[in-house]
Amino acid sequence: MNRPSALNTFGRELGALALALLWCVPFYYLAIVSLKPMSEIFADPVGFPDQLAFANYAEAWRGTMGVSLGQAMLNSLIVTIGSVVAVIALGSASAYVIARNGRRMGTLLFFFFVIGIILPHQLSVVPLYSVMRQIGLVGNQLGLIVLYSGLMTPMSVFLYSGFVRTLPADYEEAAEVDGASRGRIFLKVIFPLLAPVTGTVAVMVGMVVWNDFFIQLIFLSGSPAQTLPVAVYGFVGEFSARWNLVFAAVFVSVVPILAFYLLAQKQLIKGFTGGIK
Amino acid sequence: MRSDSLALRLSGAALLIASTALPALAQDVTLRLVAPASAVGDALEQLAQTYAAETGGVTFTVQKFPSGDSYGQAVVTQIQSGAAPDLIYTNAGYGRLESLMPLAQAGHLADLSAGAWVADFPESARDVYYDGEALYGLPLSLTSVGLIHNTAMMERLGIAYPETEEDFFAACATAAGQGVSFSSASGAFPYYIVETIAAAKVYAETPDWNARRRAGEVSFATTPGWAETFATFARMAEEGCFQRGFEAASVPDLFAAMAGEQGATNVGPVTLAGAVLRMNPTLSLAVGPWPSGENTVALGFYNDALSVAAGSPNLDAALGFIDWLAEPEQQRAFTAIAGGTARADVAEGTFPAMIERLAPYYSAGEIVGLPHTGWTRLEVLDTLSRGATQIVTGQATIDEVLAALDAAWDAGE
Amino acid sequence: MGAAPCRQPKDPLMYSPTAARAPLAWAAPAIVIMLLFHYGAFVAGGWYAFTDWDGLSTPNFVGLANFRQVLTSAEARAALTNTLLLTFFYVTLSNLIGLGLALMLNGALRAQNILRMVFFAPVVMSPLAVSYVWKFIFSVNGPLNAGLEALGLEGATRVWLGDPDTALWSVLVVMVWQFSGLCMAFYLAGLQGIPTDLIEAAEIDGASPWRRFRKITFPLLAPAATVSIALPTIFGLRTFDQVIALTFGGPGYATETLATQIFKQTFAFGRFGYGAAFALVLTALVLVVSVIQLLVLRAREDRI
Repeated sequence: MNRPSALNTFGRELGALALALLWCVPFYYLAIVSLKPMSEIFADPVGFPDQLAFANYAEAWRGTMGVSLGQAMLNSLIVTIGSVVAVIALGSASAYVIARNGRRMGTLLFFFFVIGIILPHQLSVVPLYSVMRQIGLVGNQLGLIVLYSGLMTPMSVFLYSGFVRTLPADYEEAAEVDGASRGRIFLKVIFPLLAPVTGTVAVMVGMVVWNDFFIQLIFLSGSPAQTLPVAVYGFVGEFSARWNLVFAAVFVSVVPILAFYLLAQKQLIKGFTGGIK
Repeated sequence: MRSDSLALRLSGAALLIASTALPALAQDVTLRLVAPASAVGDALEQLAQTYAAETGGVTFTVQKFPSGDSYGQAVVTQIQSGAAPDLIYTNAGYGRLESLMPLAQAGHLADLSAGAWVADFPESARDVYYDGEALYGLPLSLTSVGLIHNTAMMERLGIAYPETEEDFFAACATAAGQGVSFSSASGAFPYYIVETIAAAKVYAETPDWNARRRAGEVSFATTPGWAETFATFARMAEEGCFQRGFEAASVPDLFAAMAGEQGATNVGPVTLAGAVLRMNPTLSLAVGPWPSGENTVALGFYNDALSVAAGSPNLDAALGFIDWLAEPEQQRAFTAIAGGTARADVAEGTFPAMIERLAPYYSAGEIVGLPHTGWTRLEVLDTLSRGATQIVTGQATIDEVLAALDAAWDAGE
Repeated sequence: MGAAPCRQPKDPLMYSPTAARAPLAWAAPAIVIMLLFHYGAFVAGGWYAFTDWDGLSTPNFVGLANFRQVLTSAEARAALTNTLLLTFFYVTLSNLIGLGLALMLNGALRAQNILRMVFFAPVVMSPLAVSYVWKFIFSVNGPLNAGLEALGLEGATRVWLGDPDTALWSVLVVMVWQFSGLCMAFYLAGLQGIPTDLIEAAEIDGASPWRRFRKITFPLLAPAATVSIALPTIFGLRTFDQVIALTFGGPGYATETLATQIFKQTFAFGRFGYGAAFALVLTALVLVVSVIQLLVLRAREDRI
């Protein structure tokens, strides 16, 4: 494929461009409708706005039920970062134990963790809710961090295990000879070597937690700790059909993740596709 | 509010501390109240604050959850996890997660029948508040259900308030001729329309239809009124009475359609009119009965209720608040914020102008409660909503839907 | 492929010669969490499936009654059929489109980075937000109908989300739009792992482009295909957000899925037992489908 004909390439370019434009249609409407004044929303929902109503954003930003979108965004950020940090700690240590603990024990532990990836949490959510409610972990960020740490650990163990297995033990043996403790070896030698997969775990877990709706709806709705998806859902419930306000809120809610995506595009895609060669 | 048991428990400790500290400790009661995040919740919160200010020593924590399904979920999960609040906003009868009957029958609500206010309990609500001799909620207001209509818009369209169903269909044609829809519907939740029609076609004739259905004496399939009800709904869809795309519309879409004057009427509770007015305060809205000629009746039900959790550690304080809330002054303060009609006003026969067309029926005692509040299983209401939409989208016949309703009713037995 | 060189070797477990190098205690917190959040909660939730618990009263053991209802009731049949239809077409279409995009964007195209960025962008957004945008596009006075009218196709306009013939497919369009870019990324990663000299050699041998694709590229994409099929399958079987935002399961039962039924039966109707039975069925489905898929796809990888 080194020397494709110029015409061929041009054709592909044109095709790709056309498809990309089609793909952008929802983004286009997201942008223009969010700027439409109320008067145009019912009369001409589809056309380009005659005047740009930036006030929609001010109204959307206020959110509903006393939780502004800014507050919701902060809540989402706290939950996401907290969960990512906890999951990295739990996953990397467990994967290390799995990889360095004899074949039978290692395999057993591996499956013990990885089955959790497939079990849909729809079933576990009800008993979890009851218990967490009793110990005061419903309606606040800490509860969600604890919950996601639990739910996302299998995925991180899976990702870490695949990597740790391929790490030769030479480094550790060298460090051990130097008299370093195991904890120190892990922190100073192993964990840094895991950096690429740590990135993958951070991206995957971060995205799942940031965008998850089902659990956040059940655990946070109505609370001041509600996250972006819950806040947007509540907002749409209240302002449905006033598409300009809804879209302003949706736009605000997707800006952080899109911005993150633009900045860290390569790492992010790599994070998703890390397992493929 | 002096709680004897609390005082007893504290008496031991009181010996150890300065006697001046005792009264403050003994009276310190915090009541937790859960309510939906809506005008109803706002009203309860304001009244609770007023009560706290007037009555030293009682404070409130008001927890609000989004109205709709999530409110009921929050209530049920709080109760089942052993963290029940002291005061719970509930609904009359059955039909929702927060309905008081299933909660009461599972032993989660306290009996309020010893309250002084019980003497003037509205007779029409007895079925959906009492289980035997025990009373499980304070009815907060009468919610009217009917044809909410934009009077100025109807005048512009040249449509008089319909007296019969044929008038209604003629009005649909007139409105459609002028590029708007006469009424609007939500395909996801059309139950108010269906039940309002059923009030005239089923319940006007057989007021105790629900009780007889529970006893197995009648069924949906064998009651001609139900088939006629769905036929009327289907005809409304067919003759363009609803807005285009109503099959996919949600309830907030209805508010928007009325607020934006794309539709002149809407069948629903008076609270819906309030929500529309908040979106567009310039409208003139009124509520009337479903036009059914001779069979016309008025729907009205004491839906909003406040109940006390059976396991509340502050039972006396909670009951004290209920007694205070039951006074006419507080009833009126509640309806001023949340809408609806205060019990005291119903008793006196003074009705707000908005429900003028319903008032004569109410005064004559021709009140039909909202049918599904007497249906023991939530799925029956769900089947009714889906079934109505299935009929108009050609997914099911009327007979199939009637059979599904009976099956849903009997599913748990 | 700097990220994770974790293509499984035939013997993936490479153990340190010294035994028990990492103390088991390090995994203890994660093990406790697994026991609580996965196994314990799963067993507790699974137990509800055999009861008539309504969330309020004491549960009664009812044996398999809930499962009988899951297998016979209209809402359950609809939910099961819709879930399987959605999953099948979602996996197929997003893989076809994703593979097409990857082939188109692999190579020296101008602006290919920007194009990749566009196709992948929806993947990072919340399905809920994406669904609201599409709800507008599908709405009766929305861009889709307006576009059809502008093209003189008034007859083709519809109430997309309210018509039982189109509602499910509308949900499918949203899912495919959002996640085709993910399949594209998987296949692009796969393509980049294919040594160019292999293809060049085939080119010199005079193999046609189709033959080159069929005989070299396609087989070498097997690992990418495994992920690109397995992951959307799990997503598809759990479809929830899109349905809640777009149709709420309607009209009638036209777009109910297993996950929306679990949510509604449990949290809206308070039928914890029946909802749990649904959840168990979903679990079994996910387990069976995933295991079969992995076995078949892995076998295919090995064969190739």
